[in-house]
Amino acid sequence: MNKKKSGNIVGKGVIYIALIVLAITIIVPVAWVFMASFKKNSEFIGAGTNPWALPKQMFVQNYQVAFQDARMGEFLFNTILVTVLALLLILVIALPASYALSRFKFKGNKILNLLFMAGLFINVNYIVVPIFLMLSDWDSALGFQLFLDNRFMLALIYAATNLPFTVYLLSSYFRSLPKGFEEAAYIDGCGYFKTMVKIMIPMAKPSIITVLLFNFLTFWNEYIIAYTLMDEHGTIAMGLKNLMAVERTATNYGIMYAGLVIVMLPVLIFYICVQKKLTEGMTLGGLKG
Amino acid sequence: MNREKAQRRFIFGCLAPAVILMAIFIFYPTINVFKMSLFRMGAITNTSEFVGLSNFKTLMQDKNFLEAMQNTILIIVMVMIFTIVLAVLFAALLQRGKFKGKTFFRIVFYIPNILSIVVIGGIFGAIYDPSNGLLNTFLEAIHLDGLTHKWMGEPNIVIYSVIFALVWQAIGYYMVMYMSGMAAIPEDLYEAAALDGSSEIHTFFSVTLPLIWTNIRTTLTFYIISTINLSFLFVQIMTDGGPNGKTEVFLNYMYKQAYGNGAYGYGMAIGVVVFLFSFVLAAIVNKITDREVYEM
Amino acid sequence: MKAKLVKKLVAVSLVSAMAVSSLAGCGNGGSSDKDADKTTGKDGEQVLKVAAFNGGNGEQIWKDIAEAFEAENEGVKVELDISSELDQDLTKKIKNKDYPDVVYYNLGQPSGFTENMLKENAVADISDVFDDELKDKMLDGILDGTDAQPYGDGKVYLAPIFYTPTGLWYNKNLFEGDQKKYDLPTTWDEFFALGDQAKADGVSLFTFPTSGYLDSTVYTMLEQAGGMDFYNDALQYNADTWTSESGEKVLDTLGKLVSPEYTQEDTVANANADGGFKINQQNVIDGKALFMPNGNWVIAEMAASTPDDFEWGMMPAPKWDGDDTQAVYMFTEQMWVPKDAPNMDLAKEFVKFMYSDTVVDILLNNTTVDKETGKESAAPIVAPVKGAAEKLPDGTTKDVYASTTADDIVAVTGKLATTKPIEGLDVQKNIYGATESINTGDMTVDEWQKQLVETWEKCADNLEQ
Repeated sequence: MNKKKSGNIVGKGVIYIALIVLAITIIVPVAWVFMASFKKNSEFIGAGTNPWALPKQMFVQNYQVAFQDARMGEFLFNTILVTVLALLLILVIALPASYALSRFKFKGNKILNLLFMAGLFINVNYIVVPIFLMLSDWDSALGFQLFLDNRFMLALIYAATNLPFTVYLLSSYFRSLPKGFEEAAYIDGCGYFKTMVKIMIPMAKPSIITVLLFNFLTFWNEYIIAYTLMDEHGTIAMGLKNLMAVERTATNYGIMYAGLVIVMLPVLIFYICVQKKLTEGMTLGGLKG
Repeated sequence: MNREKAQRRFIFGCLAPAVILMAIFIFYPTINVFKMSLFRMGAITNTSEFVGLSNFKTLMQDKNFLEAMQNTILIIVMVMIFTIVLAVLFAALLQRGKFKGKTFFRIVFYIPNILSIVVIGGIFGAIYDPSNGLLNTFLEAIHLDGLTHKWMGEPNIVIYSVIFALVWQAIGYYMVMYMSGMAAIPEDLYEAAALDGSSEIHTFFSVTLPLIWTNIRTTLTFYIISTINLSFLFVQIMTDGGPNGKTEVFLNYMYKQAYGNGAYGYGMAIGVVVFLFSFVLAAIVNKITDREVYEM
Repeated sequence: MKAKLVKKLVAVSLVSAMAVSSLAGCGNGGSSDKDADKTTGKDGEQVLKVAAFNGGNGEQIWKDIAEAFEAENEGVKVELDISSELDQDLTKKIKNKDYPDVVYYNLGQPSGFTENMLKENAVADISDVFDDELKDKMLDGILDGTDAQPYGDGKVYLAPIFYTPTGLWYNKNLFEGDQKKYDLPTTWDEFFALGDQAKADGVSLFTFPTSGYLDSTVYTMLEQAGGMDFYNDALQYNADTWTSESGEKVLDTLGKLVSPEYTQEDTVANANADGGFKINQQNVIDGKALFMPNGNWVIAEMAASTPDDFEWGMMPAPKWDGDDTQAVYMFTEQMWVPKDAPNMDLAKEFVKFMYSDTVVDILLNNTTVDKETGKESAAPIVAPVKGAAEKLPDGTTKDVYASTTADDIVAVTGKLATTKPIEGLDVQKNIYGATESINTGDMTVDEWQKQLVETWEKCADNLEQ
């Protein structure tokens, strides 16, 4: 009995150490970025600088410069707009699709499932230029610019490119719901559409929230598609990438880190607020072709 | 009869928007990628010339591509192994363990996953800097000077520096996935195991692991897909494939060829190979991990 | 949509089958007039689109030049597009058939943007800009190199608008004055002997910001080792370049130079990290390494972290025993006109304007402002026009330019000749990236030589025209 207890204590100690070490490797660098964003350039480079030293002053000017140079104010608005639009679109499109795929047997079901699965393997990085060329062709067919540098279009493409994963998560969840709910509703005289909207979708709420959060993070941080398709109506991640490119040549470290904080902070706050919901609706099925 | 028709209409209405969007913005561009891989194309102007499979022939003898392939495979395997082991372990601890601060750890571990890659690149730049980096100055401060390395410069180490960053970023995400799998395991199975006098470690292997096996198997595909993508984003920001190709990965090489070298069609051929590679690899992994699962 | 694209691609491939020699122009048919309405703005005002890379020189200089150009050309409005990611911006725009009129973007950038435009034959021949009058005004020989005539066909495609002599930069106080510690070497033997002496003091002989900076060193060494003809042949991928006695001499010396024996230990790690080039440069200021290849832009670039009493110096790459002269590499920066520029004539006017006295003075008076301190520091830019360098204020920069006209100095210009795109080949990596592997011991000089011979062979097979 005694022996087991002391073993437990040692075990617990090891567990705690492992957990704490990982936590430190995450907290320290993130906190360090905050600290570094208040430093002057002379505190980063040259003899006698120490990365662990506290800032000699709160050099808030870094934030001003980063905010202006990366056009953060304007880009922040665009990012919120595009993210909200894309989230709405993806819900409206992915929910019925996942529901139909997971709860009905019909001809072509297998093929469609496979199609959505194949979509998971297609990497945005190599289709982004073909998408750009396609939109550019549409624009020249129209004779004026409509599809490129359009925030609605960007939101639509965000929604489309994240459909496979979203449908995958949602249909796994729908599959895990017990059978027979629909039958009861049909007997009560509910149509298919009403059954879906009134009964099944509310049941999938935890999964919907998870999907929303995942996609929120993806859209917020995305810059490759945004960079390729957008010009004047950029997003905040794009602004940060530009800022990094400029300050890298100029190596204004303080401004760089201030830019990182500006982009990181809203997500961190948002995450801390909703973190509980994030884990609730995550149910993974097997990969069934 | 009428009902069947209504059902068909309903299913069609549900699926049509999603299928159309995917067709336009995913599959059509992908077909174009396949098509362009058969051309010799400029990166900037739209000049092109049909060359058949010549790009693929060149690719098979391209030493730089083979090096990128080796690196990518190493990264996928290492990230997979380390992330699974650590994520499952931490998931089990946080789900089943009884100690203070569980919520705290769960929140913290997920943080890397919410950060933009640009931010993570900035963070690891600060960590790995040889003379003034957080890691080396920390090691010197605790008098472990012998452990300091040129994390971004030594050819045998640099790829592991990238792997560490990838694992660091991935653990929280997969941990949460495994935790939700563990949450679904009925409590009475653990009670039964406890009654049998099974140790916690034994219970982990006899109950927890088999029951989340399906979860783990599913995530294997995610590892393949996301590591190919993330290794590119990380490498692009952290090392750009250096020193001299030691951290070159699939998609970074694709970008370099398509834009830096102006061989756009060739870059697209790389894209095609990467797509097929990830598909086949996922199929293989799916096949060899196919074993009887415990249905709950 | 799909059918249309297939048709287009088939049509394109037919065209290229008929005119195999010319890769250019196939895809450009039709819609290039998309922005035609934009080129003449309101009230018949002509709009000239100037796209400039935002490197270390700042934005103000382009605004000043644009203003001066507008003042001299009534009814012309210059639209500036200044970007630090100009290559990506322009790739997008050109794919979208929105062409700039004039582009300032250098050869030798990691993106390879200008090289790609050349590979795709998308840069206009601007030989007629350089009439006899202008040629007289410009530095002798500055238009003869492959960095002005990339195809080596006697036609100028790239206008060299700025030039900077590059060599090995060092801390002058260590070699002159009352703190003098070492003698400035002139031969490689002396140079390496100095390296051994410095090592005893705990200082490394050499560092490089990134391996790409070794290009000027390699170019000067090729000239030094084999003379001007050998050098020019090498740039045109002569098969014997690296197996000849001169070529081997270059490789052996360079291999020794970048070995851990002489190169500062953090160099390769910094060279690969984001922004790490600056830490390598700082190591010369901080006295961890004695020399690095660079140009005088480094003075402004490092101003914020340079102590007040520090003084820069530059020397040519050392010579081998028995040589009479030492070589410096003339780094030029290029401006060019896309073949599809909407305002070709006006674009050429603008290029010509870059050599006018007005612009020469604007360039010399350039300053950069430190974002953090708001401190303005002089960052003069020199146009390759006779007499421009003499107008510089006294100091290191002026000395550097003056040194290139000394009798025992040979000024070398040029870049590797342009080839067609070669799938799977990374020339920069094969030449310069390899030095990192030599430093880390992953590659021997013999392997490097083999790799270079293969690279030269492939390039020679794909030379344009």
